[in-house]
Amino acid sequence: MGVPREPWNPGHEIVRLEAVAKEAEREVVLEPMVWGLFSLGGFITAFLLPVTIFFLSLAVPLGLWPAERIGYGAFAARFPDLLVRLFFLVVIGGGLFHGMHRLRHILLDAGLTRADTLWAVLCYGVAVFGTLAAVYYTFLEPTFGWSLPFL
Amino acid sequence: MLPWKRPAGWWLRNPRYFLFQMREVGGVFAALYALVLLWQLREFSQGELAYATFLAFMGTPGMFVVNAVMFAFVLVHAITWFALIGKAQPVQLTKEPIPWQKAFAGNLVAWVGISVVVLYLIFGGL
Repeated sequence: MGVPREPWNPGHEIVRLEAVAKEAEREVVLEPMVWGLFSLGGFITAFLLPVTIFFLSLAVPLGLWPAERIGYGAFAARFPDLLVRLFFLVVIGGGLFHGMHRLRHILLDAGLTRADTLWAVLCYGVAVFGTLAAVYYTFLEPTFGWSLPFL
Repeated sequence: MLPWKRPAGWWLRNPRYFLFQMREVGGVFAALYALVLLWQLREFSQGELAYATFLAFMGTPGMFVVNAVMFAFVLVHAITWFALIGKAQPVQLTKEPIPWQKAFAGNLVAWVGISVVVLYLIFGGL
């Protein structure tokens, strides 16, 4: 009876400590950062997105607003306002970093854990490129009059 | 140190876990709508005709249903987010942490206020 028995530990797997330490070292930079952006994006999404969806996408079909309230003229009149452009940038970036992180974890929860690197690259890739495109369309394109060929 | 690993499909075994996962899907819908907004900005930059085509597509009955579903998921996601803020990290401004119900109520009041401000500053009022 010299060998100590493993403690009864349902739901736990015995993992080599060195391997855990190595993995933790690799994850210590990226994981807290994406969780932080997820949390920040969650705040932005919760406070700003319901009112945005309601008035930009539902008010006109529901008959609460006349169609010209979301028409080209109304948009063009408000878009030069710095605050309006900043609002769109923040809502798009926040929504993407919140939702794409969540999507990665939904895929992992569905059991597709082996392809995690692929999910991470795809999800954060969409979030990063989408946010960069939003920077372009909110602050660069109106100044220079170009448009991105791929988006 | 024994890291715990969730078995695959853990969220299918209990209705509460399933509801949690449905709530989280609301976060993904937030990202989808962010892409819609990005598309809207893109079409706007292309000029009046492109923007009108975008609006015509968004105005079809099918897209109205999609938008309504996105809105419903995002709304549930937002309200449950307000409820969990005071639970995940109790707000400790006073000696005793503020009960989560009070943090929830405060968040709801702030949300309504912020929504009204956004309506008037960004979307030009009612």
